[in-house]
Amino acid sequence: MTKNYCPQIEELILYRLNLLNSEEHRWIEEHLKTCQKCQREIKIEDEIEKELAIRLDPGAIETKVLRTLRFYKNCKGIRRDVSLLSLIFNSIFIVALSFCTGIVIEILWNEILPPFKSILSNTWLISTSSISILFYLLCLFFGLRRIILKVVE
Amino acid sequence: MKTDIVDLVKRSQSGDEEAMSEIITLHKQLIFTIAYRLLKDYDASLDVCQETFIKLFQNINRVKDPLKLKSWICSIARNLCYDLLRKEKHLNKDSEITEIEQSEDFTKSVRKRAIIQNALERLNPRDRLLLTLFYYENFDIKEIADIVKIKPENVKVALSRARIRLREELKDYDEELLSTD
Repeated sequence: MTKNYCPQIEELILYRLNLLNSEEHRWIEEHLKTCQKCQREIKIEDEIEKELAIRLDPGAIETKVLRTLRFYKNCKGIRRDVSLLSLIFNSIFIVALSFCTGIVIEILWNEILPPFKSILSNTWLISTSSISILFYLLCLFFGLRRIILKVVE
Repeated sequence: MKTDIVDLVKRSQSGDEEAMSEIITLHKQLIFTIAYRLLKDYDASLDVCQETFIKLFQNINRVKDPLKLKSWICSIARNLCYDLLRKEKHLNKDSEITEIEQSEDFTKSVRKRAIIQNALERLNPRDRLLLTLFYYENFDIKEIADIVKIKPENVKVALSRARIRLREELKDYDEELLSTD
């Protein structure tokens, strides 16, 4: 097969990828022996392919991966995924429970110990609020445990 | 080699850390290269690389055919990269390469690399993945099809199109590509 013109770049690329039929492949092979312009194109292809074949090294990641795996293995069994919805509901429930208990106890104590009413009332408000906040923080911690563990790790 | 990988997978499945470490060593460059070609961000690629192996070993018992391990790892990495690309479209830092391209201080080979990287960047992620898999290692067409999620009979066409697109992106850089230090 003889053709008196140069192959298109696309054909040269297909030639490099070995995707031409044998007749076309042979024609380009023959053509390349004499055509400097196409030889130059092939050289450019070589450079591109050389770059595409370069291996990039991430460094020594083995230890870090194994350490993380060990860490996850140790955390196995701990419930790490708590949905945001359950987190909100749990928090509301615990805060409401603390205040309801507070009100009930305050009513009862008002009946029993009237002279200490104001002191008890203030103390109770502070303590119920503290307990509520503490419960809330605990809920938040368990809810966001996965993220916190990741940050700590 | 084949028996090696079968043995390594079996040992990993029973929790042998030495085997796991060997699997990482065997595949880390490939995974990092794929991640870097897709994300073009060193730190993000490093994270993807580590996350890929963590996911792999967390699910190592699901590997039924150890000979397909390489394709499996590549698929995990591809999914992680695609997720990141979807989440953070700004991840590709064009400015870095532009800076390298314009600087006179860099050697010609570094400039050449930057030019090709920049051209790769303008291709779509699937084309980048195809080219990386094809030129990086002896992946056969079936493996490439598995990883890229296209039909094996379409791999050659997709590959040639990707290659032609890359060449088009580089058409103004012939002199730089042929230059030597």
